[in-house]
Amino acid sequence: MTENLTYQDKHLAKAEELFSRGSFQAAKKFFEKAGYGLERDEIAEKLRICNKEIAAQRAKELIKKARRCLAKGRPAEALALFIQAHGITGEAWLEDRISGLRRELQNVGSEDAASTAEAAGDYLAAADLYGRLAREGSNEAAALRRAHCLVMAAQWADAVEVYQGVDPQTHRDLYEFGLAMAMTGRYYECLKHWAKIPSEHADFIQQKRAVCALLASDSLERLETDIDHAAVLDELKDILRAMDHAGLKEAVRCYRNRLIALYWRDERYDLILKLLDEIDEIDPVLLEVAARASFLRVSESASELTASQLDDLTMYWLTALNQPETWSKLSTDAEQSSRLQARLIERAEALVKNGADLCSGDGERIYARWKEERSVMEQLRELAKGREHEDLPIYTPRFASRFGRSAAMLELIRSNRESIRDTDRYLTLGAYYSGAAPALFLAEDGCYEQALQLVKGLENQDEFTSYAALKIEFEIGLNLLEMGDKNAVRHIKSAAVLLTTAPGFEERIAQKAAGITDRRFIELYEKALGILIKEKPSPGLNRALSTLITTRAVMDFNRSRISVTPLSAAIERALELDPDNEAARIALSDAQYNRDFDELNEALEKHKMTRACQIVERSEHEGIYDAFFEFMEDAMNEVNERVTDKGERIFMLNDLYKWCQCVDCDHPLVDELGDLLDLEQ
Amino acid sequence: MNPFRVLEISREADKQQIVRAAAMALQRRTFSAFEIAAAQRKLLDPVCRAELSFLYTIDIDSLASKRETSPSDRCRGEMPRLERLEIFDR
Repeated sequence: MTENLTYQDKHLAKAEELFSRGSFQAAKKFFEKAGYGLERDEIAEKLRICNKEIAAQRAKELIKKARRCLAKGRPAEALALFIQAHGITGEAWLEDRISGLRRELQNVGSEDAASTAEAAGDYLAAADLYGRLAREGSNEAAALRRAHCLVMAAQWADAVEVYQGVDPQTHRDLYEFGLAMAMTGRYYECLKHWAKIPSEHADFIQQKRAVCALLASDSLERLETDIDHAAVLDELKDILRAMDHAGLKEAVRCYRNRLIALYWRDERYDLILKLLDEIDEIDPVLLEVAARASFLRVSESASELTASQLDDLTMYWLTALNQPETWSKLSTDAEQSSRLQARLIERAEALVKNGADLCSGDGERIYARWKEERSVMEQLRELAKGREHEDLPIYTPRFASRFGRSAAMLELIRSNRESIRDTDRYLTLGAYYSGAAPALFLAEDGCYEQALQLVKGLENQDEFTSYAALKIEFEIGLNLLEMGDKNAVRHIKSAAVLLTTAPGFEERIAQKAAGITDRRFIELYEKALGILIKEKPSPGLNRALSTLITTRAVMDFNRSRISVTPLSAAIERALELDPDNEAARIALSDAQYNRDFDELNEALEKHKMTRACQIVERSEHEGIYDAFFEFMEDAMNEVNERVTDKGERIFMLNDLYKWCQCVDCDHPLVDELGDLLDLEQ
Repeated sequence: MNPFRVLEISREADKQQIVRAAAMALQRRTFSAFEIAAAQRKLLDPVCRAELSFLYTIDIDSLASKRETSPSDRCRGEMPRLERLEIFDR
């Protein structure tokens, strides 16, 4: 205790000494040390004096600096220093000096003063000064600085007002404008402004996410109120496009559902489908809404029906009616539910069929697709029969592809491989639910090149995608054949292997070939069929090629492009391919007749009677035989009429008699000639 | 045309209610007598009515109540306070 007192006394003595010397700063330290733990009034009083003196000294220094600034012509800085000094001493003369300086500064322009105030952290004063500047000279830079100062002073609404009157360009201005918007509850506008700032700074990203959360929350709170839901939904979607945010997604979903309910009430099926068109995930409730809306829209469209409306119906209807949730709604009785399901499908099919007639080319395509998808669904339902306990939903290929439900269908098909006897059917079903499905749809829509590119670019290849690729090649080939394009042969060649698993393609090309009559196309089809026959000979293909060869040969012969010999050769080849080709047989017979007839004429004209007789004997055609005797009869009549010399007449009739007898001694003309000769002699 | 709307009845309306609703619809004259008669005929046919019920009825309540959690609770959890960032000051 004694030591302690001594220690404090020492400090007190030192403090008193420093105090008497006017070193108040140092004295204060020692007084504080000495006074620790003691309640001595004199120390407290001296400490107060020290503080006062220290402050006065600080103020003196500030005043000195301020005067120096004034001397150097920097009144704004001097003003800031005087303000600080006044803050310490509160002396009245300083107040007067400050007012005087402010007046002085306002007279020379307040920019410096504003800057000074801003630098000194007096943002409200700075904002006021910048505001005056902006008003006086329509100064946009000053307005922007005013807005900044208002943001710094957390005057958000005023800042928004100022920013709205100018054109913020710098990142800071854009950021602060957005921030002020967010602080006043205008979250969407905030995010729109911030979208113009290409910053990836983590803090900024985090703040954007925070505003997204605020926007989502604020929107959802207004969901039940009487607002323009469509406009809010557009805003939410607009932001969501640029930023993935769970809260916003939830808000979008809620607004979409709300709008669907409102549109349903007003029977605006087109708007409902437009909303549903944008979604990538669909639940059974929305699926049913989509199916009903598309059905009602088509049934009410009448003459204004478009292909895309019809397409929507085919997209949703079959899938919706094959969902366990839907069956249970149709009826509590399974049998009745099944009957009603069938009736509803029939009604839709009738709509699609009628609609297809109204939509011309596209309509036919859509109806063909509907039939194909209906068949696919029926087959899948058959496959799913053993798994009824699982309440397995079944999706059409297009629906599954769009909403990512293909895997379950593919699993169903694969697990039933053994029960699908037809390999072609198995591969077709699988291809519709494989990664190649989008390519198949493109091909069905006639976008062949795109389809081929897509399917060839697939990373995961399996039996289904390979089959799809071949199928697309084949479709391209068929399409090019129809257009008479030589490239068709190349594609058909690439897809020829398809015939070993899928005889259906063989029938298709054979059917198409059967109707071809244009010579340019015939040659192409001949080449294509030749390739396919080489890959897999079949009676159908042989028949088709045989018909084409016959048609082309006869066509060429009729136009005198070929003589009888190549015609016969071609037709004999056609008959080799298809011995039952009756048309070829007839054509061959006609060709032989023509050939014999020509040769007979030539021989007769040149009086080569031995040759003529040989031709008649060789020919299987009665016409040649008749032609020979007609010629001989004409010759006989001519001899009778024109040859007056008896000897010459007998000689010529004898000649004729001899040749006729050589061909057929029983022919009536032989008897006639014999009678004539008897009369002459 | 939606027969439930024409007659202003619910999906559950019974035969008696349908007939009564048709009479009232005739008095209202919002729809033509032909339309009202067609609506009544369709709804009195059990098979046709089952089809129409499926076509014209959606579960609006189910749609509207599909909010997973309270929006405020869900969003506010991740929200820090907004404070001015200095990263754009330079």
